Amino acid sequence: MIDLYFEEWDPSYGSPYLIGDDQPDGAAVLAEAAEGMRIAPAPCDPRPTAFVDGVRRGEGLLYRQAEDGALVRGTVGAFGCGAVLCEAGKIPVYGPIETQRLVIFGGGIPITLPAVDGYEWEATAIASTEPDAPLQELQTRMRIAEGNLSERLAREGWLAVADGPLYFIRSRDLPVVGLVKTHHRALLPPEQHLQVAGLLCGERTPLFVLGDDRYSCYVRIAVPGTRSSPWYGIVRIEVPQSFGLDVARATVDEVTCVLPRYAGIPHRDPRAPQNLQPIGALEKQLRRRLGPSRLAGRAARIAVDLHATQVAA
Amino acid sequence: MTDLGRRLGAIDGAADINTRRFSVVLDDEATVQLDELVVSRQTLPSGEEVAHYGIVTEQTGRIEGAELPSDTRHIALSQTMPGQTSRCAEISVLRTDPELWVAPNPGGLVEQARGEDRDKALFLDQMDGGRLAIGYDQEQLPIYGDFSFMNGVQGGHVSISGISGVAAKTSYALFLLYMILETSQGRALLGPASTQTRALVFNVKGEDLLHLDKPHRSLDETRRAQWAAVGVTDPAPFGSVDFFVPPAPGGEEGEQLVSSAQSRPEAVIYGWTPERFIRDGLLRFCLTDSDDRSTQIGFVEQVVRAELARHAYPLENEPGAVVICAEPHSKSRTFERIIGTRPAARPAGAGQVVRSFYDLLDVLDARLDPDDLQNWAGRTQPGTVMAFLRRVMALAPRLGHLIRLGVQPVEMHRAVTVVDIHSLHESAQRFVVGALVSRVFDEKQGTGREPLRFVMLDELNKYAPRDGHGPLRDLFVDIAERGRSLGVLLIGCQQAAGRVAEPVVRQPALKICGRLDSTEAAEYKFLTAELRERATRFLPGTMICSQPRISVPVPLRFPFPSYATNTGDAQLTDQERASGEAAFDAL
Repeated sequence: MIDLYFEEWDPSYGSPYLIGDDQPDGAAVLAEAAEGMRIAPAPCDPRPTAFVDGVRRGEGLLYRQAEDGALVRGTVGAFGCGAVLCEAGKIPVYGPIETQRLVIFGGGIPITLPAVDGYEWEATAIASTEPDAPLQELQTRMRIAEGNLSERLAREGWLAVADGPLYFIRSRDLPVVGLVKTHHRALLPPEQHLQVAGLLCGERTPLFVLGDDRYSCYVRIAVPGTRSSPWYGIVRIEVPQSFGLDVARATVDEVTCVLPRYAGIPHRDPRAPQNLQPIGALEKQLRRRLGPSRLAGRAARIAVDLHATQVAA
Repeated sequence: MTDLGRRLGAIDGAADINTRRFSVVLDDEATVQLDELVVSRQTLPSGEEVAHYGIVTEQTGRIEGAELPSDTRHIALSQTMPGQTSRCAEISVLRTDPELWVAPNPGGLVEQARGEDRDKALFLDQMDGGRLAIGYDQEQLPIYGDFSFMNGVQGGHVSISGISGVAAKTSYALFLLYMILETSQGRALLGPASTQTRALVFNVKGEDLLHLDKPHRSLDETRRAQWAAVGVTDPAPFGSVDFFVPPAPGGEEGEQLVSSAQSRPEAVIYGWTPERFIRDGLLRFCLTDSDDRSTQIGFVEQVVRAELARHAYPLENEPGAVVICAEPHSKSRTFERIIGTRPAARPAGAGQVVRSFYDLLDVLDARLDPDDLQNWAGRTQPGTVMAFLRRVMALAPRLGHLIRLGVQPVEMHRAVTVVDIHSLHESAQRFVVGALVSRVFDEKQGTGREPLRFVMLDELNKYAPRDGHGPLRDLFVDIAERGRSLGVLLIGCQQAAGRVAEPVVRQPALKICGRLDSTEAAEYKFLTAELRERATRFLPGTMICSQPRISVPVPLRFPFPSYATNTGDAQLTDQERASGEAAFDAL
């Protein structure tokens, strides 16, 4: 049988389903007993939910000629991270938002740039001299900031849903939820993996064990159309294992209830429905808060000139 | 002491700012209304402090982040998308102090202008020629006009526009007169000449203005507070008013005059005796239709006017009447020279006696006979002469009753002289206005600016229309252009400024608008686009005032009249009430 489907995501974002046939099969073990792969949690009153996300942007590439003649790479860039706070009966609002500008150099020696037109860069260095290492460091910094904010909000009583996997949630004693939009590899054994596409909107798979610290499950957050791709509207969520299975189950049930309500709107978001409305809006807001990229680049260029003049003086 | 204004927000840096306008992003807890005055201060790189004073002209709001109308639903109704509501107020700059041509600072703080700031915003510190409260704002704080732009020193005349019924043009004009003539504020500004200052007020609608000397029966405490806002603690009716009404038309010749006013029987019945009519050359105000001036009729009128004056002698023992004799008493044909001397009285037998307008018509009929070689019109085309005669005759039923014996001349003995013209035909209205205003103007030639003469007239477009020519239009254009230095100040009202002779609506220093007709609003270039649009929605009592000191027109309100502006408004005296009750009982 040949059948055709249409992917809702804008092609420039790639496909949310990147699992190929040549990849190894998944081997994750289910953590909870269930009849089949579909669990439909009973509707519940969700707790106030905080959606956390971050954006980052390299705004200029720098080079430093070391005394030994080696070329060390650096980058100027910025990241922002923040949250949208959703409470029943209230208009969602932007929660705390923080932005940071950094100048990151490889080779272990930080270079301080003078402030220009209100642009200031925190100087930092990493040991690696790999060409893309500074940009990676920017990404890492953003992830750490996201993790910190998620933990802080969870501590304040919010159901914290962070965009992306839980790599940087350091404290495992807070029920922070990670939300993954893109599927890179099969996690479940083939037979179970196939059944994921059978989820209905508002249903989840049973929890399965992910590594030694997380539980995870797939959730469908939107009703597919007749020509939607098989994995349309399916996201994966992660929770820490540290609280035990019961807490994990309660948390993912709650999240499964909450997410469909916030599913992204196709004409508003190129990654709908997986990119949730609060997250899509937050990304835009964060980019706005970083300011125009060209102006930041201009400031960095001036700062590099100034730095050279100061050093010469 | 400066009364500090609340902070309203910061100047929007996302929109362009210039020296004339800017936008304020309002704080969440701030509320402002249109027309509120604001101030923003900045320190220039040179270290100099500059304050921008402005007025709120419009307000806008949006949910930031909402890009499509349906986003609003997701944000406000289903509450799944975040949004940030931002409200902005648009500000027109009134003043930059000190006067530096710089724009306000984006991001700069904006506060309400209170106390000294409000005074500065409204240029009160620069009103050296004295200031007169010309209304109050929404917070019942007075708005002042620079009196030197009202008394002719730096400017003069007031032009009031707005559609009939809701614009309250007459009410505002009366309020201004009241402030000038009846309040201590106004009298102080008029100075020593205040007791000789006069206002000529034409009543054009009903018998409305024939009761200005009576208190308004609906003046209550709230309305008194409005007067207090303009600094008047004891609002009262006009204190010094004379009323003149035309005689009722018709009736036998020689019968006693009957007043045309129902509600003011004791008002003086005005008119012109034939002698006054001839010697004042009032024939020129008889033919004022625009088509009268496009033909040779104007020339005939000029000739006839002079000839009448040359041949008219006072009638013995009958003051006001004249006798038209064959031989002229002056060799000159220049009107001004002819009336330079008054000839000796002659008996009735000396010629044709003129006691009324109808007698005058008989004279003209005889003297303009083309077959008579001595006829006044000389070699003018007989057709033109006949056309002239026909027109003058057509006027008889319209204004004939005003030219007769026994009527009183309108004399301005009191502060306000109300002349009723509402019951007259339009030609007669133009005649009366022309005759009286030209006299006021002539009397002031060469006597200096003070004491001032105010002339209040509604429906100016009837007297000084935008198009055409005529003695009346020329008179008003002349007053508009020269009147201020002569101390003749026009308080003119019209429904549509676009229909009034251009100098008459351009010259006035004080331009006031009430509710405007939306088809007409484009005419008012001195208003901002926002105000023009808004002025089509004004409720009665709200006006916009444009004055030379303040670069942007400022909306204002004015108090409820303390004087009757309508027959029914007048508070009855005890005596009137008693006589009314007695009449009712008698039934």
